[in-house]
Amino acid sequence: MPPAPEGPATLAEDEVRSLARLANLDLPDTEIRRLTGDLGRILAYVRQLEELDVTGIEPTAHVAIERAELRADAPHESLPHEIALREAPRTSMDGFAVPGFVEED
Amino acid sequence: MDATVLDRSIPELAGLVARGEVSAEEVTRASLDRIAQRDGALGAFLTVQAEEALQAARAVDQKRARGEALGPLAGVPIGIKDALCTRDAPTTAGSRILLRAASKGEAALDPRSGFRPPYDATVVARLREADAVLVGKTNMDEFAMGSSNENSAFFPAKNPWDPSRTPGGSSGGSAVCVAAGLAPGALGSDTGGSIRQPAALTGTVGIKPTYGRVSRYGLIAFASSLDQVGPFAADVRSAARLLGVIAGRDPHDQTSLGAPVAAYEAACGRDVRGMRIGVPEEYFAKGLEPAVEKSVREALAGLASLGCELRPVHLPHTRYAVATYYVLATAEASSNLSRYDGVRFGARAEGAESLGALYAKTRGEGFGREVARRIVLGTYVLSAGYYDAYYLRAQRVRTLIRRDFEEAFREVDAIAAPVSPMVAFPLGERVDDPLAMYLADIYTLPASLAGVPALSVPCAPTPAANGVPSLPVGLQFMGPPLEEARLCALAAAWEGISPARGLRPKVSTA
Repeated sequence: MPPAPEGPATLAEDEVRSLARLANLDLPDTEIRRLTGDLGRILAYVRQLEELDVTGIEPTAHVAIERAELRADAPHESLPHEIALREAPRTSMDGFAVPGFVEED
Repeated sequence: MDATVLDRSIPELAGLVARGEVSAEEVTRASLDRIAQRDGALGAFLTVQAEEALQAARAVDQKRARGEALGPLAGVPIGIKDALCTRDAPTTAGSRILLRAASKGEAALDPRSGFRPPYDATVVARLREADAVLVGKTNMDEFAMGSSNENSAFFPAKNPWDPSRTPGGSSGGSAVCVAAGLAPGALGSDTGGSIRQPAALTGTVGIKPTYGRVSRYGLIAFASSLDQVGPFAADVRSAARLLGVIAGRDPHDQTSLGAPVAAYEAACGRDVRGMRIGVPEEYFAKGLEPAVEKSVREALAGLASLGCELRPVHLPHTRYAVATYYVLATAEASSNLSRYDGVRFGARAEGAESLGALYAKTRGEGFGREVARRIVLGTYVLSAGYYDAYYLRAQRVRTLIRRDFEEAFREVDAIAAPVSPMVAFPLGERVDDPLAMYLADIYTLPASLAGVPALSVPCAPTPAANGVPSLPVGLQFMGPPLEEARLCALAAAWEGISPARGLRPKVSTA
């Protein structure tokens, strides 16, 4: 197994903070600092993929052993409304309740 | 009631129940008793559905009393990895974000308050139709991310061979369930080795089927192009019977395969003379513990003595599997896990004043460290500017890894190799070093990336030395797509002469 290269951290704390924001993760500064170190080491290791010449190699997104069948375009029952709402942390007026997100005029 | 009935193979046990020599209720009580006696020290189960299990068992007994034919798993207690949806029974995926109560605080950290799915995963429904009895939900690394079970939000599962050590992960609870005789079978899921590695580390049999052989419907998604459900059992025939029940096309999973389900159990006992077994030198590289290598090499010699022909093969891109996997799996996870937002189910952070803050706070509080790490890594490799350099490149390397297998399988019928480069390691040893933890998966990741079937079957345990007890070692067989039956034949043949045959850990009953 290849050794883990001891490369320098490749990400700055600010980059990690904005990635966390993109991923909708509110993390404390101590976690951002720890993540910055971890991701730097992991990315330094991942960079060994650059050793390979992959020109002209088709990407594999998914291993298709056989051609996927198409499903019949037929109506079927969906989850009953009350069941769909059953696990919601908060409901209101037969729907999922969330904080307001549309500015009112 | 003699509890050792639980140590019978699954075909034997189902036969005893079908003939009325024991009742499903007695067997289920034996399993629930063992869980009560043994699992406090092991942590295999997150929740136990005792009442529901007894009810299901009585229904099986009544069915028999009415003279109806019983299914192939009649009265057999089964543990279900908590990543699989079970109708109305708590399902947490090992995460606090799927708890219904508040997300922070020890008092709230009880898996019994987990999400209650409105439906069964297809594999769970198939077990019920086969007259199995589902006894409980097994412990796991959060969202199946981990190789030691220490990323469970609740408590780590412990290896019954030495409770100071990991049972492996992420399906650690399912492996412990079987190894400690709590139930004779269990289901797990394998994205990069999460069935095979814990099977190896606990001395059980675990099968990762061909990608698509088993439905993923109702399996909480981690990396959808890699996830597969598969069985654990104490012996190959038992695992084969479970696989036969859960395999097959499911209209709810577009990636499930329509090819006929092979006779896996009948394949156990098939003559393996003349089978060409590839031995890849890349799987015997630096980092493989000498005691593991010795045990695996002895197993290879055993296969030769059974009439198999051993041939060297090359899988030259094996060394890139860890890097490839941790780009692709994290990318898929970052997308799959975006659904946990505190709105429709699970935990929700208090006090958020905007929708964005609700998402970010719920997720920041609800996900554990490893899951957050993988989501951020996945977000990075998919982000503009890095997509080609990481994600697309890793997908191309995945093609090279697949081709390695395609070429090898032109020369050989199956490949034999170690499962894990090491025996069960002490709890806490790797938990702060994510890269070291990832490298533990080096020998299981390639089959996952290539989508080919693979299984782990015990070979000789390591000898006790320097205060370290004797610990299990797994032998891995990998085969061409849809050749699970061939792997079962090889594993059963090896099992027949394996020094590990019938070995069980001594489990203390507290």
